[in-house]
Amino acid sequence: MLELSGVRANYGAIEALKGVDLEVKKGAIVTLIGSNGAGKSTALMAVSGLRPLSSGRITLEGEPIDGLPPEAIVARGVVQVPEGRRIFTRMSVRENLLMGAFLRRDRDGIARDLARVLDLFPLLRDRLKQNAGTLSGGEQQMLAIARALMGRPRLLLLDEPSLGLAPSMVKAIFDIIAEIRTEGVTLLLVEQNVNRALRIADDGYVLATGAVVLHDTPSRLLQNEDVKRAYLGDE
Amino acid sequence: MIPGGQFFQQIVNGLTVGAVYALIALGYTMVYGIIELINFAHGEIYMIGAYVGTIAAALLLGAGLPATAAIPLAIVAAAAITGLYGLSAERIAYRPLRKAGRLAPLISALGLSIFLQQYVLLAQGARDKVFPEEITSSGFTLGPVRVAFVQVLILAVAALLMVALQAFVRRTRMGRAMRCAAQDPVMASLVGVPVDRVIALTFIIGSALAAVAGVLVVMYYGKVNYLAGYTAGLKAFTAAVLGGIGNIPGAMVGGLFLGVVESLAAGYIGGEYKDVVAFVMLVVVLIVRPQGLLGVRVPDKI
Ligand SMILES: Nc1ncnc2c1ncn2[C@@H]1O[C@H](COP(=O)(O)OP(=O)(O)OP(=O)(O)O)[C@@H](O)[C@H]1O
Ligand SMILES: [Mg+2]
Repeated sequence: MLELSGVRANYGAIEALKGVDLEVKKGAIVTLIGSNGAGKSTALMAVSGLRPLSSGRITLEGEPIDGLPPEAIVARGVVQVPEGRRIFTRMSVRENLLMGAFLRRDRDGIARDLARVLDLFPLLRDRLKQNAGTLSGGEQQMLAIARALMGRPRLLLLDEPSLGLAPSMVKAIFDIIAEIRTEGVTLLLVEQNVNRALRIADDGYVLATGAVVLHDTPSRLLQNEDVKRAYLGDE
Repeated sequence: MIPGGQFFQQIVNGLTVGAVYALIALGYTMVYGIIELINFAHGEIYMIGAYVGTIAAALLLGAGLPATAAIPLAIVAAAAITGLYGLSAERIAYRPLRKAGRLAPLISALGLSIFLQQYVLLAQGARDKVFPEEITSSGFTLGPVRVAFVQVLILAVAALLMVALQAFVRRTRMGRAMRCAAQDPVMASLVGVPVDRVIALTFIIGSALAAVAGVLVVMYYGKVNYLAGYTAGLKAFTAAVLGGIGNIPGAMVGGLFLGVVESLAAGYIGGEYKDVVAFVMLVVVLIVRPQGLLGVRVPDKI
């Protein structure tokens, strides 16, 4: 569904992606792991059209999407939940959710999806009128995912959704991810929680200093000595 | 001491001028809210609005339209045409510098401001442009206070536009997009907001509001010249800062507040102190309370 080939991107003189090849198959959960500064977020931003490529190609179902403006990429069904949640803190929870559906014009569909995400995240239901900035970290993450779902994604990019959350919240987030997949959404998941991420994924990539250093099935990556040492040490 | 009647007269005059400051201040504050640029050319946009409105009114009256039709049409024409000036300003002077840090766009704004002044000087000359219809004199008295019809018009139009702007920003799809882009442009892009177009729209709206203010002022004072954007721009900027720059309701309140304070200073101390009072307030607020007089928390940008 999504394919990155030879993707390079830089911030001024710093080359954050040095020729990344990566493929996400339709219906799959693909996880992208790597240490801090490896370039994971940059890769997602490149897919979303917010970090221009210096070379390489990104295709969605065979069609190039690099160079398109971010809104055109969202319109093609590629929606990102960025690192740090970035909810609109000075808007209500409801307004945040409606912003997720910004490009949609089907009022009935939006209303149905609002009901659907509130079923998926019941704790948001009582807080619809509340200012989103007053939500807890976990609730904000829920809202960020719910907002993305309001855009009816075909491919959802999740950047460290479990970061900084209590264990029970982390479990809830991974349950939600599994549930989203059953609805036919393809997922590209960037995670620090490598163990959980690999256990839910169908395919895994390890990124180090801007390049893919490992690509394998999750079960083999979980057995890989380098992966164990670097990312699973404290689990 | 001035007598009580004089006091209320100054309040009415102050609110009139303040409503104009508020309309101009909205453009500063909306643009700042979304791209953190102090658009120093905004005063000139207001001045251009005044010229366009005056020229349009002259043409329409010349074509035989009654003032009751010509003046509203002239206001609409000024808003539309000046909106296009604002749009072009954004495209030419600011968008290419969007990623160039903070200083470059500021310098570009100053350059644009000088350019627009000289442009109007060359096109229209240095002499005052006089509004074609004499309307200042008619009015009515409320006890000791004399209210000109044009003052009522200014207050009514300003109130209408402010309510409409609030409704737009709060209730419409593009208004919400504007608030999102002001809060977090990256995230706004990630939900599909075309941020560049939202920025352009912000310039159009801000310029149109300034243009309406410009036409109202020419009607009030009877004339305008190519330098008029300078003081009005600084005053409106002061109003925006008073209300907390980036804050839409703040700009409205800041404008009215500044107008009234200035007018009272003119009445109690002397007309020549009016501008001094405004700029002392600007400096003091910038030093003591840069987040503005309104609100304790960081103001709601847009
Ligand atoms: N806005 C920026 N300006 C300059 N350099 C940046 C910027 N954002 C990221 N970088 C650099 O690009 C490289 C990749 O960063 P990126 O955020 O993609 O890493 P990451 O894998 O997501 O890390 P983390 O796990 O900490 O989120 C790093 O060296 C980082 O310092
Ligand atoms: Mg990251």
